[in-house]
Amino acid sequence: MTKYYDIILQIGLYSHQLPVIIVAYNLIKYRSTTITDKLLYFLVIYNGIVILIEQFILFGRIDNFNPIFNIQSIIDTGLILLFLGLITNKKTYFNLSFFITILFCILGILEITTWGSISAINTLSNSIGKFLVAISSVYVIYQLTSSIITPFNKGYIVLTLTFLFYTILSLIIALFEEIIRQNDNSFFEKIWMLQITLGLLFNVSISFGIWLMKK
Amino acid sequence: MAYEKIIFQAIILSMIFLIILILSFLLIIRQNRYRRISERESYQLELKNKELEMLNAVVLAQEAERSKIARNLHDEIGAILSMAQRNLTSTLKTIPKNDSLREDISFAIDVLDQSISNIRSISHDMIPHFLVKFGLQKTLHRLIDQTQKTLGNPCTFITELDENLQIDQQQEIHFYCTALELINNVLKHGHPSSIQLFLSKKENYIHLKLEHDGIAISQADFEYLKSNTEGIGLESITHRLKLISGELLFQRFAKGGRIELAMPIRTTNLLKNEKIELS
Repeated sequence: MTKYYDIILQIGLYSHQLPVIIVAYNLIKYRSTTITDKLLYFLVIYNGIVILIEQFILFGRIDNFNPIFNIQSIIDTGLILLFLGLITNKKTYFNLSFFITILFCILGILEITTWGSISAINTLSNSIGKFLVAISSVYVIYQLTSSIITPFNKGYIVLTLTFLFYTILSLIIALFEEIIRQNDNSFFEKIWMLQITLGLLFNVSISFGIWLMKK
Repeated sequence: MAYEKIIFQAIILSMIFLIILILSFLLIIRQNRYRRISERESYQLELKNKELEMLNAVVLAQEAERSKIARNLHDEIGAILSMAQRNLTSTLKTIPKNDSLREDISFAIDVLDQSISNIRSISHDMIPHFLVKFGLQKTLHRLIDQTQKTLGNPCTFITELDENLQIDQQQEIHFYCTALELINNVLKHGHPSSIQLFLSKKENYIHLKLEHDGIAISQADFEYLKSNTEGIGLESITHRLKLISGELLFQRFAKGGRIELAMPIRTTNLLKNEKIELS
């Protein structure tokens, strides 16, 4: 089991660089980028860099409970919410997304600094973040497909669907994350393999979405 | 451990449940979208049919008006002029041969003759009597004969159509009028020395090919002219093409050009089956 876990872990870690490659390709091929593209590219590139640092610099020096995860999840959620707010092209919805993002960031920081810990899994903000992304994705999919006159960007649909599937499915794991991470045995490996597979599919799907978005 | 197993099973089951939930949501959105698209398409089709119906009504009214004017010209003005001509001819017979008035009356008779001929020609152009009486093939053949006389060079008309082919009369008139307008335009602007006309049936389409050796225009030129000029002839061609669901293709060669006109055959008029009255 550990052997398979290690293989999947390695593939999962390297898969984070796939969207980075697609972003680099898009940046070279299509010079003009919108604010929405920039936000998404930033999300992908910064995640790729963080994973690289974790993989090659911090590997073996940090344990399962580290501050990187908490900070990263707050930034990721905020960026995804803003991205979803932007792609609907509705100012009101973007403003609402922005407001929700600010509230979410405050909640995340409060959890880290008060009842939670920077080195612990902050289940509340993590779960709420995923829940917000899922709700926002459902709304965005509905909005993008509601107009039958204006054609929608297929890339945006793929990206939103990816966010929806990933957040909904990883939300269940996130609810039990504290318990899962405490078990350094086959149970942890089993669940974590599931999480890594989800991450792997997420990265492949995100790459496809980014490629499709500019095609 | 037992609780770990329960958690694992709960996670897997929840995931399956949520996947089903998301897929159902997507399926509902997809169905809803398809339903609205099909509703929009049927609405557009209905709108297009209404537009065609209106266009047809306008053209029919125009044809009826033209028919009335043509009939009046031919039957009334033409008859009056013929009577005047006959009277003058009788008067001429009574005038002595050396009278100077004789020359004036002869001139008046010639002018009247020319006027009668012009009125007949105008009334025949306004409503294609010959087409209504003898059908498309014979009318086109006659048209080519007339064109040959005008140009003074041999012009050909080849037909592969079955003589018994039944075409809806309205459609036949629109097709002929479009062809007539095209030939007139070629003669007027192209200055050809001769023209060739090929009439055939391809699948369910009547296909007319007009080849000439004059100045030709390309499809792009036609599209440009269509949207940038206000010529009555072009407008008439466009309207008639819409009514018969016809297609027009222009080709320009090094010398001369080709115009292809195609129309799906309708045996009965889908919009309004009205017959043009012969005067």
